Amino acid sequence: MGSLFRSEEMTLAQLFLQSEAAYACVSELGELGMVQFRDLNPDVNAFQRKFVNEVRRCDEMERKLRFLEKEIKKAEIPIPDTEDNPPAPPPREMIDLEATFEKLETEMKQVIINQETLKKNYLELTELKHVLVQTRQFFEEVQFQSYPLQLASEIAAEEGHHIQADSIGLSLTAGVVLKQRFAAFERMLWRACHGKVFLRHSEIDSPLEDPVTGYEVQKCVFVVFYQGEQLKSRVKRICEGFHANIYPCPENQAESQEMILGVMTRLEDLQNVLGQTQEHRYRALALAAKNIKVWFIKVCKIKAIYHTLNLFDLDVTRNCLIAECWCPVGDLNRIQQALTIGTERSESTVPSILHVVESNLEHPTYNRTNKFTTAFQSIVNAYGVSDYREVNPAPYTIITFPFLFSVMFGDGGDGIIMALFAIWMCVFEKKLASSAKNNEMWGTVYAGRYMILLMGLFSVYSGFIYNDFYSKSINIFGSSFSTNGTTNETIRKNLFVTLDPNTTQYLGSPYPLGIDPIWRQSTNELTYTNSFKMKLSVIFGVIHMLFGVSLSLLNHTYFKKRLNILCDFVPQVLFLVGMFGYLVFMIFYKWLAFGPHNSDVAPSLLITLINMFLLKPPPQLLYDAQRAVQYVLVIIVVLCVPWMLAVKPIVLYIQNMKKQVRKPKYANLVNETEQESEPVEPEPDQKEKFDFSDVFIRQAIHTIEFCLGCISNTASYLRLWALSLAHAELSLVLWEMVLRIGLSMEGYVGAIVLWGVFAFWVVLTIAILLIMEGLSAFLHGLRLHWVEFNNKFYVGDGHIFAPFSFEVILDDKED
Amino acid sequence: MAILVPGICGPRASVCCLVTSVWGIVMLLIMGICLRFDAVAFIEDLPIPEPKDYTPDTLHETYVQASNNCFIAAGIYVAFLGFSMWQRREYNKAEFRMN
Repeated sequence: MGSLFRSEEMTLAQLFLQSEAAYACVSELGELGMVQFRDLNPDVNAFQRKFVNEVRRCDEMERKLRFLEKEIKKAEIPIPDTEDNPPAPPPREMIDLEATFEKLETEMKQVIINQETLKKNYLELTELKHVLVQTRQFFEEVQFQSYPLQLASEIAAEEGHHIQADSIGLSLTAGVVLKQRFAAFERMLWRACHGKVFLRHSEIDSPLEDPVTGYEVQKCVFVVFYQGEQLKSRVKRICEGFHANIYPCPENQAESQEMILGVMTRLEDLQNVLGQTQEHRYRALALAAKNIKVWFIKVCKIKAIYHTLNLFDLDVTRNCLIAECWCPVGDLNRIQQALTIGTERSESTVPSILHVVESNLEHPTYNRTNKFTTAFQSIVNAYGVSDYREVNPAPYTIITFPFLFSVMFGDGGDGIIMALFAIWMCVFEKKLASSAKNNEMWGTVYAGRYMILLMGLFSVYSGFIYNDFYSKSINIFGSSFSTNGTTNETIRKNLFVTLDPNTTQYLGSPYPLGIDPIWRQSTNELTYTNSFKMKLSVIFGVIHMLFGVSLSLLNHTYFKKRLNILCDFVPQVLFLVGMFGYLVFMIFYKWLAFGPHNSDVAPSLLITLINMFLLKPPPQLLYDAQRAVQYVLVIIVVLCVPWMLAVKPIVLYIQNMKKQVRKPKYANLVNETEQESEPVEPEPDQKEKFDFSDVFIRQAIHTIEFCLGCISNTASYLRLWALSLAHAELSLVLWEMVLRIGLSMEGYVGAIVLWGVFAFWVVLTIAILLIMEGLSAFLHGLRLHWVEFNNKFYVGDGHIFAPFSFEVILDDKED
Repeated sequence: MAILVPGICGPRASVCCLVTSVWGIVMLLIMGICLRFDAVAFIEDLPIPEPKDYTPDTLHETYVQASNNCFIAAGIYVAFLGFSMWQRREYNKAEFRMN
């Protein structure tokens, strides 16, 4: 079983799989999710790989499934989410799936084409109906049997000619054209036919559906009368140009009536057929919708397996596939089991072999986390994945991060709200898990629910220490200050009274937990709390950094770099402790040794520290042996710098010299033929030639970074003070400006105002204090970990273990 | 029973009202109890008359008035809580009927 202390031991393993068993074994390994395969064919093009056909088939299947999904979504059928996790189907089932998808796709396409044709027919019939109805209206008032003749005599009468009825060869064309194009159509006809045609039109009231685009358009009916073949062809061409549909016009009223009836019945039939087609389509899609999610998962898994199989090396002579993979040493048994199950499932006689291989390649980093530790490990990994087997900062982050957050947040009331919110998320985690996947921001908050819980609980604790609950202090144990010695007269005459701890106004013992509640009512509250919080920040900072440096000792011991312990770790600790450890000591000493009776002779610590390094004598002594102690410390600290700077490069140089000197001796003993082969002892720095200047420069950078970093990082921890001050002030302003309005009203109207104002105060608290300040404190706490803590020991250059796991692939697909 | 008046409370607004009401009830009750016991923390919030005019009793009376205000506001929040829970139930029923 792994632990979070270091990343897991990983090993490279070779798998020998028989070709028939390979698919099933990879499927089992994908379900297990414990191996990361290496690509054994890196030079091979994607199109030249062995299983490229299968991958192509999978792509085709996916395309069909996507088409089906689109159709289902268009028909507005709900797709149920499936909870079960179907295993990857064997290759022979793949053919069945392909056939099913093919059938469904062709069926759908057929249905769509049919629908389009039906709709077009429907449109034509509707237009014909309108034409018939409108032309009937044209000729309603006429009694004659023959329409063209009647109109011809009308025209003749208009023009003043007298024409014999039966010698007229007048023909007409009736049709339907878009309403917007009608004006242009009319003008075109007039011009092209030199005015020798007669056009009547009327609009169709209801809009018609265009079958291709699906939009609704307005059309109107027209009738054109003309004489002669030439005009007829011209009219026809113009109609074609304007995309007008021409319909045959009936000769007389009886025919017209018949045609209308015929058209109506055909329209009714068509509507029936359309309705039935729609229902059939709906039923087919609903049936597909039930299984579509499962199909997606299956196809996804098949594709993943074939992609993985493409990474393997094919050994044709022995008919087996060779795979190389990284896997955790602790899980070798489970992997072996998975391989056995896979081999059994594929009914292969030859067992699959797992063979562990030693390797000098960079091992991947794998940290086994559960739902609680995942959040903390991921914020560490966001900075940099730890090197293989390096000390993992994550387990300490579980406590230090919420703690530093709480020092910056410092409000008990807000902490309670944050903790309650986190408890709600944690208790209902199963129900909320699905909704968290859809929304990214909510998903991020949900993923950090345990972190937020700890942050809230720690904030409640720091709220008790700072005695700050929505900017009000709580008096649990009774204040240690009292108003002994002040009379009612003094209180009535003065607005402000001073409580002097040197007199009986201080009750002798301090407030047991946290800051005394009376400070909140005093005018010099900030002076006191600022000094307190600043010193607290420096103390926490130095402890945190010292802890970071000591973690580097663990790394040096594990990687057996004793030189680093002597030349890096020891001078670093001495430097840090000598400078800032001494400051912390002075802080505690001053707190303990000085009280209200001698506070006027208490020296300023910052001036003392500065004078110490300027080698000036301290103006006021903290303790008796101070001058001697400070001299010694300064000497040690100053000596540490060249120690860190020069010792390691010189030692490495000397070691290298010794090896160079030793090498010619061996060369003399070895005869000439062997001289050409590899040397007997491979030297550790044979890969990189020892470059003294390179090592020295690197060490110099490291030293400067550490020394200057010590000072700047300690100052950086003062943000713990700054943010808690900001939070306290914001909280105070919110109370004074908002809630005080409700409390300061006289009479019972104050209750209603209080009710309204309180809701407003809640909104502002959540928005400003919880969300904005919470995010701010989170970010700054994270920065303190990433920069100030990590650069004392962390390398973070590793790459993370990315196993072949169906769960991961399917989760990615869903995004 | 009347269906929820559309536009007053949707599903999310009623949850917000619920949370605010619960918070209001708890916090106003605690504030009311603290004020009853003459908590010094609230001294700057209350409408206290000029120092020369009052006796300790007037001070106590101001506290009692403020504490009563807090309790009444908490009571209004109880009604508000009931209102938002009713809205929530109506919304759930309407959704159930639609589906």
